[in-house]
Amino acid sequence: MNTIAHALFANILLLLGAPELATPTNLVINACAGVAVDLDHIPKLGKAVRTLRFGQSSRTRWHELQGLLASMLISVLATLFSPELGRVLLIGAVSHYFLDLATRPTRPLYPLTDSTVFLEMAPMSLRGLFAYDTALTVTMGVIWLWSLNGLGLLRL
Amino acid sequence: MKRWFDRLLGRLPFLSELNPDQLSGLGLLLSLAVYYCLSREMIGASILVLFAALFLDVLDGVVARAQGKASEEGWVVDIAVDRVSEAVISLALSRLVVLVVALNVALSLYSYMSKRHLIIPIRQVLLLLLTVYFFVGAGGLHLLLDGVLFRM
Repeated sequence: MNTIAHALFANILLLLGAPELATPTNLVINACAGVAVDLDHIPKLGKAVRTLRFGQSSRTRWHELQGLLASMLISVLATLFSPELGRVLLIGAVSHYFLDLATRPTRPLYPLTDSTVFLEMAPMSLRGLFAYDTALTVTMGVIWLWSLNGLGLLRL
Repeated sequence: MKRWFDRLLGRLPFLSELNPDQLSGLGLLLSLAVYYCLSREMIGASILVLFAALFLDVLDGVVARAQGKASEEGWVVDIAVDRVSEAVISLALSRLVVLVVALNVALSLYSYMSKRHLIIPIRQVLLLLLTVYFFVGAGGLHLLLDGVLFRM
């Protein structure tokens, strides 16, 4: 999924599930945690520009279940210093794995096996995927604005 | 029990029309609703949605077997969806539950390496604990479950 969608989805999970933590600082930290996993795409950026997509092969082990495990442990460790920060980080990180698994082919057990999982909830063609991503990102943007407005963090 | 359930559901004519991976995906989406209900302390609703998610989890296996699609890849789909679903639900729960979910992710990886099925049925246990928590009302057990599920 695209970076904007990941940031929005992380924020939406925070706004809907833990509105008491939704301060501007926490929202930024949460969005950063939501997109941080994608940093492992950077070495494959050149190929992605040529082919117009990041395939599942551009993801390292940190993008799969091993990464989920590491994110959960890091977040729980963070709760020892600040329970609020730990929860904000955890929501951001888990949201990334959820969105990728729901909308993209992934290799959950990589590097143990290359078995690819695709839940067929998004189109496979480049054009279809572009339309799907755009529609989903716009929808999430609307929910994000509506939630911020509802909590009084934004005046529309 | 599993064979009996397979035979029972396998007779339903519409099973051949269903896609097991999409059923898994639908179960994954329901975990978002469980997270929302739990974080809003809507325990009754969360029990119902969690039950529906678990039913879909069973159904996708039945459909895959009925269509002859059961394979190692199906097992990987199950593992991935179950672990991410547990992680999403744990976002509304205590640190203790988050740690158990993390342990389950580690066990899944170990299961693949050792070819042994070592998984904690976290959502099933959670369904049981939430049901007890919902019906017990105020008292020592309620306080204990409140601590384990939401405070620790």
